[in-house]
Amino acid sequence: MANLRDIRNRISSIKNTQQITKAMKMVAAAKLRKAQQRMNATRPYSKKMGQVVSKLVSTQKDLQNDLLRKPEETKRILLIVVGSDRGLCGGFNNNLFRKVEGVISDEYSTFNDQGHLELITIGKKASGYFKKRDYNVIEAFPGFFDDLNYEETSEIMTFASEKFVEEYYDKVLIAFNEFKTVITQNRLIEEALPLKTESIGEEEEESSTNKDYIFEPDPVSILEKLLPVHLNMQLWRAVLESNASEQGARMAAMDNATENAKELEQDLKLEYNQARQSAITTEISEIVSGAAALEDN
Amino acid sequence: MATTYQAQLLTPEGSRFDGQVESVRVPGSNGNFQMLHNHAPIVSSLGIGKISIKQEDQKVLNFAVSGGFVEMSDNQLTILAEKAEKSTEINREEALKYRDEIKKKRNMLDFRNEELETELAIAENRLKIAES
Repeated sequence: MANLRDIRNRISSIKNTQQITKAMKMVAAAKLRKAQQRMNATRPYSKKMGQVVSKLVSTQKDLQNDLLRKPEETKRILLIVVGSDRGLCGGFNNNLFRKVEGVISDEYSTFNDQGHLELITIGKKASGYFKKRDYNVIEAFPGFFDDLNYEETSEIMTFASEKFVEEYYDKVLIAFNEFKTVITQNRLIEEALPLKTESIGEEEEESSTNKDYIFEPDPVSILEKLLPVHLNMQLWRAVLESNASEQGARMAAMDNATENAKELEQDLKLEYNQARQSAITTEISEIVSGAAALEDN
Repeated sequence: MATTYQAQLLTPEGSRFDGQVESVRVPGSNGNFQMLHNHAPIVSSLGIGKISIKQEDQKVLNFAVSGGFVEMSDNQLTILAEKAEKSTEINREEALKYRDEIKKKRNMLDFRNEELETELAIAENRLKIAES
């Protein structure tokens, strides 16, 4: 049996751990609130965006745009993986990465073997994971979430869409954790390019009453400007959702850790008291037997 | 009093303005134009320039934008901009420094770099709006 001092030390260290995990949970909760607000702030923008695109598409048939090209065969794929910068958030990163690896080996293994599957990783954890496993990571963005801003995000997507127009990539995928509820995430691998024209147009189909819109300067050039922004928004949404999910996951993980620490503390306290009691018993019996020995004399 | 209508200025980082306005002047790609109550349905892309929103109480708000879209129908106006800075929120010294930096960069090149030209135009625009 461990001695009393050992147990006492362990109890105090567990109490410390508990305080830390509890504090981390609170921090995550505060950050989650902020992340959710940010997520909600983009909603009106992206909703309106979808409406404008659908108005364009519904009033104008046969719009031509380079971003709307439909590749007949896929030669090169770009996969953007959105992870997190920090750990201690349960299976948040690993679950997503494992799913990505699964999809790669199931569907894109030939591309990967030939080096035709290129990866862009966002977040320190994603960058480390895929680089270590010898994937073709062309660019990594560790520390992306320290200063999360729209501009940096759109630079990545602009790069992707330019390469798509140049017919370098034929497919662009985004893998991220979608925010479902605070404690549950949805691991998604979305196809950003080629664009699905049907899906952009359908959002507001009923309400888009066929009014005669004035298009300034003309529908084609509006679309030319609108589509890149639409794509940027897609990645921006992925990044924000992932950010909120990360905080949610961390909150849940830290809550669990605090619970576990509490349990452990209780067990140790029991052990401590038992050890203390038996020590007292031994001591008393020693005194009693000592006294008895004296009496005998 | 002129009739007012509902206007919104949205960016990916959130809403920058939402309220009743009398008129809105935007930098369309083919030149500035103003929208009053009962404007015909329109969708237009925006260039680099200034958005002026004249509110119900005659107060004017100015924003610097570097592109975006405006949509108006049924007296409901929405501006979508990737970035919109309120004139009062732009730090003039900082904007000036930024502009000069780009100018320096441009002068070092002996060919015309389109990207840099656009950046310079954006910087000039910010500076102009900060001063006004």
